[in-house]
Amino acid sequence: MNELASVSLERDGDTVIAGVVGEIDFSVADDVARRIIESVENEDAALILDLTRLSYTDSAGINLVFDLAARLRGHRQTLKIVLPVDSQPWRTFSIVGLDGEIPIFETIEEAKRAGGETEAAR
Amino acid sequence: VGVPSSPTKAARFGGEVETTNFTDQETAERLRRVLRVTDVALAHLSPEALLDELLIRVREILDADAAAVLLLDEATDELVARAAKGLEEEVEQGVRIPLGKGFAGRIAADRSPLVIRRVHHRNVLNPILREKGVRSLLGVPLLVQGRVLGVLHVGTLTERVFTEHDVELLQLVAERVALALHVRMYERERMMTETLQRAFLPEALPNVPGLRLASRYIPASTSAGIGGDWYDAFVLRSGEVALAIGDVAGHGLHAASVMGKIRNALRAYAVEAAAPGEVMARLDRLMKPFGIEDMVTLLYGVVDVGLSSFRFAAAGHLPPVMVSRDGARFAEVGDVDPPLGIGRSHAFIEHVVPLEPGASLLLYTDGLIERREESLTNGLDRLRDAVASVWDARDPEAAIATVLSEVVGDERPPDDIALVLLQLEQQPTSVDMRIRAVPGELVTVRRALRRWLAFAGALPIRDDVITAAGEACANAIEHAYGPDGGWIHLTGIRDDGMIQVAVRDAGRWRERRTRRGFGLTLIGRLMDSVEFERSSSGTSVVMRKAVAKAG
Repeated sequence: MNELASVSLERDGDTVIAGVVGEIDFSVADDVARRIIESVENEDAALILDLTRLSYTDSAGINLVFDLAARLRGHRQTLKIVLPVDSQPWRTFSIVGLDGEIPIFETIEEAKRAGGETEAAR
Repeated sequence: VGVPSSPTKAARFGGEVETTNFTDQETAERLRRVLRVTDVALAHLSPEALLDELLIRVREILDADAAAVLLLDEATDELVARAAKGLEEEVEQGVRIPLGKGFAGRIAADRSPLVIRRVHHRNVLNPILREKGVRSLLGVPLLVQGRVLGVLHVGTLTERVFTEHDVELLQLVAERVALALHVRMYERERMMTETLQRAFLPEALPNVPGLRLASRYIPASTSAGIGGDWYDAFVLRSGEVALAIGDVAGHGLHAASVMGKIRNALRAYAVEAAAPGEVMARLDRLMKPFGIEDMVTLLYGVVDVGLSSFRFAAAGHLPPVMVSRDGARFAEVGDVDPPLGIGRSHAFIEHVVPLEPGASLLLYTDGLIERREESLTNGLDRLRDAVASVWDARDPEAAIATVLSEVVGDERPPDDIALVLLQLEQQPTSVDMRIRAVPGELVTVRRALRRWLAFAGALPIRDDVITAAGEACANAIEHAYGPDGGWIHLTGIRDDGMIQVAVRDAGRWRERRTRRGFGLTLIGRLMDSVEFERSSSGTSVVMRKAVAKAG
């Protein structure tokens, strides 16, 4: 168990929903990334990263998201992020332009309905 | 030391004891030797070594050919040969004599000495005694406080008439040996209990910016009193500081192990459900499945991230006492929930006590105030007065020492005492902290800044400053030092509407290799100005941001 961040996993058809609760920094990012990656199987179509209850992230979280996206893209899988606007993670991600590359939604329902990375990024 | 009066009248042994006339001088000399054996030579030996040493001396003093000790196994009511001289086979073969049977069995059952002048199969059960050609025997019980620990006996290969003096001497030795054995066996359980007990206490208290913690566990003066008290302190993911203190009724290994179960369950539940009332309710429901029937009192609560209140639930536990500028007072709890495991239908009541900068909060177990011939109310009054005097204590360690010396004094208490004292720092006007350059300390930095920035009236820019400072520290951790690590010095001040945070290390930043440089981008975008200074003595990053400008 990690004291700063916990990862909850659920599945909806061919979509994995990974929720990260707590804080991501340099001390826990690798551990969090590993737990998310392990949950995605080859036949899955998409991963929704639910960061609704993520209260803090530093640049390690940015790296985590970019690495995850690149990895999934390699398997023709898409990554979507759920994140409330104006939260600290949202501000951190938008400063480095992450929101322009990976689709960010306000709710899990919206993320499920929306298409993949390529459409949203357009 | 005189020869103790004893019931060893010649008549009791069917004429097998003779009364002889030692001179006073001879008696005194033999006694002196006995005392030397039991008081000095055996003082620091293990039970096994003690018995070996003892038997050599006993054989010598009584001029016997063999000597042996059998100890009572209370589980089977048998005497087991534990040490022997001249009769080593007894021990090697693990001879067991039922209580009440044979020579040793009768001594233990009757709790009185026995002399056998001529050994034969009717009066001696143990075949080894007969095979070895033991002719005469003298044995005495090992008694402590009326309880039989075993039997000490000597034997001779030629027929011998043991005298009343011999009986008294052996009894004198037995008395002292029994006491020594008792203390050693009892010390062993005491040690095991204390070791187990300490294993369940936190190795170190958490380091939380803005508050300081100190704790004590004081084992009871007697082993009958040890075990069952514990405390715990840890930081939850939310940043709340969790404190627990509890007491399992009863003592010894059993109480210590019950304590261990509850302590582990509490930690698990505290992480899942931060609300103290809910944690308590879950623990309460756990008592039956865990088979815990002992009475357990427990107080569990959390200090909020802003360090402004302590929210707790108590199961039959004494209320915490707070001290502030206005004096000391107990938390008002009204109706206290009963101890855990009583079985109830309602949830646990949560109580909230406000905390102010500089205030202290003391959690304790009843061993702290319970005294013979004193009412609980008097004890609580005494505690409150003692706590009131630590208002301006330099640090929590000093405060605990004062409370203990005023309430308990120098004597070791009859019951265990556990104490946790939390002392809040005065409101921080600035931040000045040194952290080890390891990733795990980043969260410590964030918590310190979170609290300080609230006090500094910088809430609108708090997240930005925390993120930027976190990146500066992460850079230092990742790039300034080699595997041996180092230190980071962080300072924060508010000056003329500006928040200024400086992060300094004593290392040399190495080139980034794999990670993208988002950290520096973030610092630049989140703060109004950033200055880097690299010198041979290290690197410093000084960041500023105006409080009024959010964005």
